[in-house]
Amino acid sequence: MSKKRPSFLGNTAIAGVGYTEFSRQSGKSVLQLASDACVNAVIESGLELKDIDGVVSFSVLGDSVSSESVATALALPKQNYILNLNTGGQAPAYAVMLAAMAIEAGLAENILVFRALNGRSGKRIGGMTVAGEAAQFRDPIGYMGQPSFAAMWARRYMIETGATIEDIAAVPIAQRKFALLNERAIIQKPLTFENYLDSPMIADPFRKADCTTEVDGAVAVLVTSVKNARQLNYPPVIIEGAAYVCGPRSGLDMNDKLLWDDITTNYTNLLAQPLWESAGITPKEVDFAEFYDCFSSAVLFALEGLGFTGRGEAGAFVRAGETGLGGRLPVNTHGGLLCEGYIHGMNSVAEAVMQLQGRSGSRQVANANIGVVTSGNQADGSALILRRD
Amino acid sequence: MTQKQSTGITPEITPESEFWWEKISKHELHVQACHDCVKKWFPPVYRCPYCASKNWEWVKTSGQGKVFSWTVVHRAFDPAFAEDLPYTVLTVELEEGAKILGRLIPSDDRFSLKADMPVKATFYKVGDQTLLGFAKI
Ligand SMILES: [Zn+2]
Repeated sequence: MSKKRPSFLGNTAIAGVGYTEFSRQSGKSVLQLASDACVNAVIESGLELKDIDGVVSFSVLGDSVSSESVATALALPKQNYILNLNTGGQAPAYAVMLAAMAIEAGLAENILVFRALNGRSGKRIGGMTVAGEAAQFRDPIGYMGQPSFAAMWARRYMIETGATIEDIAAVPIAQRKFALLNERAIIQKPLTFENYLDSPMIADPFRKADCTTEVDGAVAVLVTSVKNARQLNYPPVIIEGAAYVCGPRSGLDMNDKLLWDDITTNYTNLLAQPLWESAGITPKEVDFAEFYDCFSSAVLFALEGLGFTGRGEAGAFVRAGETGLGGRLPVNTHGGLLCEGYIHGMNSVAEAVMQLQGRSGSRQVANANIGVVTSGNQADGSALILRRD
Repeated sequence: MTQKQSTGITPEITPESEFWWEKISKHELHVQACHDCVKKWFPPVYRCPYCASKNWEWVKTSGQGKVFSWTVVHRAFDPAFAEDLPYTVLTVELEEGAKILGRLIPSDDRFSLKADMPVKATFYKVGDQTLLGFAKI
């Protein structure tokens, strides 16, 4: 593929991140969470609210507030770029890309990208019934709930590659170690394989420990030009590579995947080439990864899909400790969505920024220079390659 | 938990799926077949999802296929299924080629479930609604 490198790459950056507290019951409105995370991102980066001229967000089935409402709550001046994406886990990296493109195109200068939800005490995504053209073939037979859908892929993956339950379990076991080093993580308990087997079954092969932890909270990042970012508080995190892909026959709705050619591989296989080409690097040059992990199997799919390991080898890679601190590719250094909590992958973008700014404390990856972030687990998704300036 | 009959969820039938559901109520399993590219598929789409042709027809399948994948559901994502737990949802690759979803019947056969195991369509009722299941051959 000889495609021109998208012009926003190398010229746009993430300047700061903002978090709210993550909890099982925020006691706050989603608008308050969204606004607080956005304010934190602005203050931390060294800008003022009046400098913001764009807001981007995403939500599923009305579980969040609009970008316009956040602009209103924060008394932002005239906005030049507003986007409310109606998408799920494929969105975080893509939302950052869209903000960066708008900046490079000259439409706006400083854009907030946020995800906010009362994902535990309010609308819970994991068990949501998603209406759609093909829901009529799922709901009546009881094929419902996000764990069931991802489990169908994971089971076939195990059948074809010979991956074992030990391979699946290795993912939460590895990520719990990072979670213990992250005060923000909701799950703060070490996990052994024996404990794992005691974890209640949700949708075979997934146990509770394989499923993301639903939380209340919000995360925002501030996207701007590299030139602007260099004037601010922290080292700019440059958007060096990025790609989005939706594979053929992605389905009639979010959970219809009967027409997907191969459920043992996901969008990451299709994303690999455009992603690496966009940054002009190979997987060997990556220092760490934050992979979207709504379920444990997503990490194995991404390791193989992006070419960090061969087909069917991801489980052994994780079991050998290669995704831990000091391993060949530390993965989900915040404990992942499994442990830090499900801010729908926006917190995985934020963690990559923190790592590249050298601000991750005891879980800091030594010499973190290049990180990759993925968003999504099925037929479509996006990814960023981020580089320390 | 109180003793409760599985109440079920009624399918929201669309113009594309009306024929399929009508045949299900007669214990027949149909999929769409394209005359132009010879592909067969499910769920119903008004054009072939492989070549965009409108030149397709419904074909009756043998109902036989192989277990492609499955999940054993242990959590009621809707209270309608609380009494069924645990139950198994199969993805079956029909011998005609298309993949389709159905309940494993009877539920206890989950203990001997294997990849590529031959199965045959069977039909079960929840209230007045006939639904698709698969049984070991
Ligand atoms: Zn066709």
